[in-house]
Amino acid sequence: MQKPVSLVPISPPPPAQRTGRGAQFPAEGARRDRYSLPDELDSASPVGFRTRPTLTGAEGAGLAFLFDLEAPAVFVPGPAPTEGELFEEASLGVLSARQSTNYTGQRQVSLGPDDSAKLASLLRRLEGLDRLVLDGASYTHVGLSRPYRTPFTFLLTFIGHKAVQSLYTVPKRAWDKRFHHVDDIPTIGYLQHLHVGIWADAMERAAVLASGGKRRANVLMQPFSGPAWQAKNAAVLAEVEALVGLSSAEREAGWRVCLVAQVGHVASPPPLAPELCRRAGAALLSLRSERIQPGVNAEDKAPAPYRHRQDMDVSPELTEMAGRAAYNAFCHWTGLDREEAKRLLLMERIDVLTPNGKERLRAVRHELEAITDKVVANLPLWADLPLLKALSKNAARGKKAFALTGQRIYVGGLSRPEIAAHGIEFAHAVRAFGAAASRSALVCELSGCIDIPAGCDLLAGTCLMAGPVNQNDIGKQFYGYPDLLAEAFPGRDPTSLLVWTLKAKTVADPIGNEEQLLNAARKGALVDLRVGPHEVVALRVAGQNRPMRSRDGRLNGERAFADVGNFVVDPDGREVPGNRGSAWPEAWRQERPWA
Amino acid sequence: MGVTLEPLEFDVPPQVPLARLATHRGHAHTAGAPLPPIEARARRLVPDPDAYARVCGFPLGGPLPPTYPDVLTRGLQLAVLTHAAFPFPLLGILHTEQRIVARRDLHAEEAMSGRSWVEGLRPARRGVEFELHSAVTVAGVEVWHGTSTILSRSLPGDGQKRPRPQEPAWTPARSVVWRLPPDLGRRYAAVSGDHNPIHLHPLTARLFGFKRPIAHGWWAIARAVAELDTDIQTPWQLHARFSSPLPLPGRVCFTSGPLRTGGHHFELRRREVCLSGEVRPA
Repeated sequence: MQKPVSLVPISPPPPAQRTGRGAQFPAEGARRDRYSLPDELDSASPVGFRTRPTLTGAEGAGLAFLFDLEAPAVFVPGPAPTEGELFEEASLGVLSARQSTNYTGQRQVSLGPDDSAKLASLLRRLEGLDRLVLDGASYTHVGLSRPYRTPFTFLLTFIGHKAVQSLYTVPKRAWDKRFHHVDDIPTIGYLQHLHVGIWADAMERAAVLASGGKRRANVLMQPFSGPAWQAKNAAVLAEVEALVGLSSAEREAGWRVCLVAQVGHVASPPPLAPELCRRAGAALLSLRSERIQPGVNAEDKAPAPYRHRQDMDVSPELTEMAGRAAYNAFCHWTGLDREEAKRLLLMERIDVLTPNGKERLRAVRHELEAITDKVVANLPLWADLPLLKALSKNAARGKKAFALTGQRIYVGGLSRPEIAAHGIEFAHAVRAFGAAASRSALVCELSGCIDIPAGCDLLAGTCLMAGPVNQNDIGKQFYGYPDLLAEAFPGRDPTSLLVWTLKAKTVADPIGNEEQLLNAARKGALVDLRVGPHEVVALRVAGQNRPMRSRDGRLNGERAFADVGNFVVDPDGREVPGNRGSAWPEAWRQERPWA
Repeated sequence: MGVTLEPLEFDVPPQVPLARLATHRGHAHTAGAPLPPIEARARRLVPDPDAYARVCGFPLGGPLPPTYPDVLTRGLQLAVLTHAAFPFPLLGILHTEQRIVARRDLHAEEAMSGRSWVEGLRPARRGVEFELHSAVTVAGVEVWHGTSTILSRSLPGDGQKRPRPQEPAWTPARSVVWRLPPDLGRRYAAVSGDHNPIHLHPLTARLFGFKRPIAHGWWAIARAVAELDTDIQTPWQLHARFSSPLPLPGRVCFTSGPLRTGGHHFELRRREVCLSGEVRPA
């Protein structure tokens, strides 16, 4: 079903335009902003502030298999994993799989071989299995997720009400959201599933890279997707939840099993050089959303490298490979025939380099801005005024956050009736869509790591966004606007789900861009919002969930794949204090939790 | 002619009462005279390292934390420093340098004995410095030796600034921020027996001129050695220098990396370097 994907080298711009971020530490007493390097990094996350490592063409070719991985058919016996291997696998999975900045809605409980065997027998009783349940897993990750809730969804509580009725409808909606997990708008509900799909796709690659190709992940997702399958499987799911120690309080907070990844040794591992796996791992951890297209959407105060256009482009070959990767992922996760998958994935390409594309982009922008204006105008004053208009100010800020910029812009979605006609639950299709979008983006990002010229940060980047889709959904739900994809796919009742932009450029976005917040209380210091392993990963040992890397008062300070050394430095080679991290004690790294 | 003093002999290191630490005023000292040869010995050292390991960040189990012998000999050190013939008060003394030689890993079940003594009195810029030695032996062989350089400000200094050793060439390999909680001094005091008031509470620290309590120098060294983990293998020797105190609570960045000449350099830095040192094969 899946077709081979290859990375496509990107031509750099003329030498005079080859420049990088060149961020510096602020001078003594100078004001810090998102363009300066942070004073330090105090974080338990395995990611840190990374630079993209440059890959050779041969290395890129060696990694192409990551884009058409098939599920393993059988596991063979092999050595138990060390704690260090589990950490590196989690680092490429739940700890770094592309997530919204403030959403910490995914957790993982990892089971040893005995619990894995118990779980396998439970899994076989599930209806709607999308993979064979395998025997002999060395360990199994059980993924948990909860509904998407962030400060943005708090703001949504106040949107779309009528002036007087809002005194009743706002509290009612807040109640329903808090206690019955009802979403303000449907696309917010889809975000949970998009994230699960992205995570599932990342888990398959993580198992391969963390083990040097010796282990593979068999990820089961469909039986846990959406209300219909969950209802059919309720009894078994309750047993799975008990096996991983999910408490009733956590259930009440909306946590549910969302996927299961059985991991085991494979009989014929691909011939992978260990160093290539390390470099690939470090590269995956370096990828971040790239929102700025130099010379197009940089702010006036941005440093010079962001303010000049670069003569380079996302080539048609790369666009084709990115699309192929998306279809691969959608087939892989839905089990659909490739041609059918291509028909069901609704993708509108807005090519800003063409006159029609520019016009279309302008129309989309105007529509989203008009919706924002309506939102701001209709916010209940009784809530906005006591908060010193914080709600309306934040809503207005969306105009900037949702601005679409890039050389290739895709608006992607699905048609609910068409998905239903194929017997696929919509939530599961949304997950597959998330996987498709992230795999497609990954092709662009890793292609942008091939032969990076000296002084440049990258050659291509991407930004996956749900913001414009959510904004459009507000328009759909409350102000009668059509779906973003309605014009491109008339008569198919589309639901847009994500927007992603491909950008050819050599200047990486500033460090204080997305994963961190500039903390005004700490004079603009960066606060790393990315989670540490102790917060979201637990190893189940002897019936107890033990947080990963929280031990005897110590928390993780290790950056995964740190040996590759791709850490941000200033133009003089000075490092950000704390960024490089420090390895977890070797005695603990070498322990085998389930041996 | 030097004074002759009989070594203090103990079965296990004594528990020196806090009151004695606080009230020891020091014997009258003649300028230029050497320190009296005070020595304390214990036939048995009884390790109980778990609480210490937790406070300092060492993995539990396995060999003893390589800085733990300092705690094992703490009672002997205090017996020396509160000896009637010892010339300086204990309160307010400062730890300025530390050397350790660890010949091999030590295990809790081994029969260890220890001794501690002082020597090497010399003038310093802001007082006088002397060396406090501690040694652990197993079957008559010295396996661990610590030499603390201590500054006492109870005598006037010579005002002369000593040149700082040149920083060796090294490449960063570890860099991590430590958060120092407000109760760190009390927690380390509880596991080490070092109840110097400058470490315990803002009020007691203020009595000695510190705005905030400061972390124990030995804690900082132990935590650094724990962070270095397998970068150092016995036999090794360490030389660490304290440049400025680590106030509590606070944050400090630990950085380390291989020296071009072999071994590892490490440093703790806030705005400036607070502690730096090298660990090399012994």
